[in-house]
Amino acid sequence: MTDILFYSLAVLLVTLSCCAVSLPNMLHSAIALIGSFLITAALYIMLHIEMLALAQIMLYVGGIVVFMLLIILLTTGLGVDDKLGRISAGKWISKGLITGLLLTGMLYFFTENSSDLLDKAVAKSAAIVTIDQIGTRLLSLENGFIVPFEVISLLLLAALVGAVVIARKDAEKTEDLS
Amino acid sequence: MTLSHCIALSLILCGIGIFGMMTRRNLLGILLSVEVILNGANINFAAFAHFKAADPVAGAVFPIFVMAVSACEIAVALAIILSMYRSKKRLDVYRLEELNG
Amino acid sequence: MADFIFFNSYLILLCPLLSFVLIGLGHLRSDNRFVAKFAITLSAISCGYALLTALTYFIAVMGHGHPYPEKMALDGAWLNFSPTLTANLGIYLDPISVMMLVVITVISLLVNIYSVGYMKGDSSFNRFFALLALFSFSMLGLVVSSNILQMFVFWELVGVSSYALIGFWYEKPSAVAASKKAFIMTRFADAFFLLGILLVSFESGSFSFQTLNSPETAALLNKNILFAGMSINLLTLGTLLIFCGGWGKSAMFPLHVWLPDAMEGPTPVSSIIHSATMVVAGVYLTARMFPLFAAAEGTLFMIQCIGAFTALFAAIIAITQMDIKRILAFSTLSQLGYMIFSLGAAKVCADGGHHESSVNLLGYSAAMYHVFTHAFFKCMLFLGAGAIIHAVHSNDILKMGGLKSLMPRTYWSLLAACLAIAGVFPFSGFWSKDAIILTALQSGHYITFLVGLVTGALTAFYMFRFFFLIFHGEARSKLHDVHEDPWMTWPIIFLTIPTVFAGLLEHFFIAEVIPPHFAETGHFAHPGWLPWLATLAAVIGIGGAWLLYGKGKTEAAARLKSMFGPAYTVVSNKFYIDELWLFITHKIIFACIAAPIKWFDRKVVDGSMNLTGWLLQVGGKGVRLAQNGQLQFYLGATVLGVIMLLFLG
Repeated sequence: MTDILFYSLAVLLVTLSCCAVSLPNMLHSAIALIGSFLITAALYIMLHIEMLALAQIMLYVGGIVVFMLLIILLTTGLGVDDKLGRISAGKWISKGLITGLLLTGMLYFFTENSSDLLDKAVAKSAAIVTIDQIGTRLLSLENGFIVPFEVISLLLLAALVGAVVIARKDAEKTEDLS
Repeated sequence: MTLSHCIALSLILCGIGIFGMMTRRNLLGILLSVEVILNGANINFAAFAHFKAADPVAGAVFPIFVMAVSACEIAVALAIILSMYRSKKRLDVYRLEELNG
Repeated sequence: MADFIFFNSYLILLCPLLSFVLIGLGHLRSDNRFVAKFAITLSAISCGYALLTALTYFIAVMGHGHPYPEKMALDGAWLNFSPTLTANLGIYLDPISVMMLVVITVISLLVNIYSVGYMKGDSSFNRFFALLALFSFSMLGLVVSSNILQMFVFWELVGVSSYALIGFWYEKPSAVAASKKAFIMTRFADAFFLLGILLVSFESGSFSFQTLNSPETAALLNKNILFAGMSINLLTLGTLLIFCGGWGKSAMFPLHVWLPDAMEGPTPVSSIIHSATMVVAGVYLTARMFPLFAAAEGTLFMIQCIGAFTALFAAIIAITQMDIKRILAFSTLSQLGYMIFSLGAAKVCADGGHHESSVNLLGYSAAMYHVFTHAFFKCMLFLGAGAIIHAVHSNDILKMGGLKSLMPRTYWSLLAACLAIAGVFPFSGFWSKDAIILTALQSGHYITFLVGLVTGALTAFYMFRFFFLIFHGEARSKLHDVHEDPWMTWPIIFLTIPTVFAGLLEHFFIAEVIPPHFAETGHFAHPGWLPWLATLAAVIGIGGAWLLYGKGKTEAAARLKSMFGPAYTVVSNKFYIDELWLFITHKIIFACIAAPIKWFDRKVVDGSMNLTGWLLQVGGKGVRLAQNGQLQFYLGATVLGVIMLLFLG
């Protein structure tokens, strides 16, 4: 049962991702991306890490893609830009080849070089990860992630300020109303 | 649903994302492809956390960090794209070749 | 005390060097009178110290009997080529170097005084004195060198000074051409000289003259080597190569062509460099290396042949020349030939086997004695010629004539000089020439003896042709304002003293001036009829000149000239040797050797450099194609790189 569910979700995810990267209309591809994020959240729930599913929907779908939609609408209107959809067949094939090579390479590399760490890791079956466990670990001092947590907050601040500064319109000259 | 299935899925997603990054002509399309890659990476983390990790919480916390970083990155990138659109009125990657030569 | 004086003999060299540096550095701004006084003072100090050194040497060293201990006044290691081979810097005093010190410094002082009058009003007055001082320094360094490498350094310095002085009036293209010719020709000969130095010093392990002249070195070098299928004696080869330096510098045939052209320089230059001192450097070198040359088979014989031929050859040409300084230049060539063949004739001919030693030291002494006397009377002749040129403003003797009444002091002085060079008793030239032809006779070289006699007659003839045409008869062209400048006349008058009285030193020279390592002199016959024969030759020459030119007329000579016709043309064009050299350089060296090398340099060497540059440019253009500014191209390249790492890593 889980297998069928997993396969169907996986196929859906891959299809939606392919749509996201290839549809010429930006709006359509953004919405395909939303779909793939939602499917990913479902996969997280299947993996019994509900926290991630929550975070995925809140952050990705609710924040990132919305932002992107905003910019798409600001820049390319309704997202239709037919000229930019045209990519020559040669480029498709060449880039496809490269990607395929990369995938084979990675598969080859990772199957050839087996890692001790992986083999020795104890297979914990169906470990449940709860939200308070994650929370406690985030803030705990020993064996915890307090430092990255603080750094991330700094990073967010920097990104916030940076984005505002970069996107600001240049100050216009104030007219002298006399 | 085994670990290798999940890893394969994650790899495929990364590949799709890389392909998209290399192919898309619109700058925003490239950003979308970046999101796809990161998505795949998160799935990888979660899969390992569930199947093999001695410390599954770490495998759950890390994707959160990835998401946060991705958010920052998207914010700044979109701000840049906005200002570029203002000055150049186009977002075609093929035309943006000031590094030529 | 004596050692103290010898130790400080570097002062003799230091004074002219100081003069050169100080005048040379400041010559653009100081005034002429100060420069002249400065130069003359330093030259006088140098001359005084040289005379003092000579006196000390005579008293302290020569009283001890043969063989003399050579005095190494200074010796310091200079260049260490290898643990076994070191070149030193030093001052080496032996009879010939002391004699040359005296000659050079005295003549240099007199020429300095003379130049004040001759170069008056010249815009480069100061530069002249600086260069003259440089020359004195170089020549003095050459004669006191303790080893052959140091001598080579000064040899080249002398060549440079000569080049600078011949081309002194550098606006004249003929002067520039002459200076180039002199320098290139002597430099060409010096290349062989250097080869000889390297060969001899490599085999013997030392540069110093004391080592090179020792019998051990001669024995070491006296072996045969196989070279290109021929068996060559190393000693003969080395000594001949060393003699090549003298071949060029002393202007032996066929490298003599630079000397007549060197007359383009000012006359004081001709008098000091090209008559008295620089051109005898070759003779000096041969004398310095005499023990080694004597031990070699055939070297001295070859030297003798060359010298004798040059003497006769130059004398024949001198008969036909019209330029006052060219006559004197060919006369110098002829006298140099005498000195060289005298050294060569010191090797006793193998046929005359009843002599117990195979070296006749009279040749050595006679050559150096002739250097001594020739320096004085030739310098005087040139200075006189300069005075005449200055007075008449022309070099052509056909334009002169009748100067006897107008320049009396010069007349009588030059008469003494001409008698000396002709070899008339009791002037100095008689004694030295007599000694030379006596050597040839004693050593059994009869042909050379005859050549010497005939050349003596010819010398007398052309010198008196020179004399009569200038001073006797009526003026052949308009002469205005002929006067005798006192600055110029007094050195000439002063030089009359050694010209006339140097003959008194004959016994001294023959007894005392001998090379080291030769303790005993052979006993040779001294025929009493020889001086009479020599005087007869001189009288025939003078008589012939009197017959043809005595009244200062040229008609008789013109008739004789038309009788000889084409022969005269050949001789007066100096046997076309100049043209031969030009042909060799232009058609053979330039066209066949230099042109291909030039092609190689332009096309191959430059071409390969240009090719490298072109390749880099093209490569750059190619690499630039990868920098097209396309973001996705870069991304693709990055991914490819990752793939490569995956597969190769």
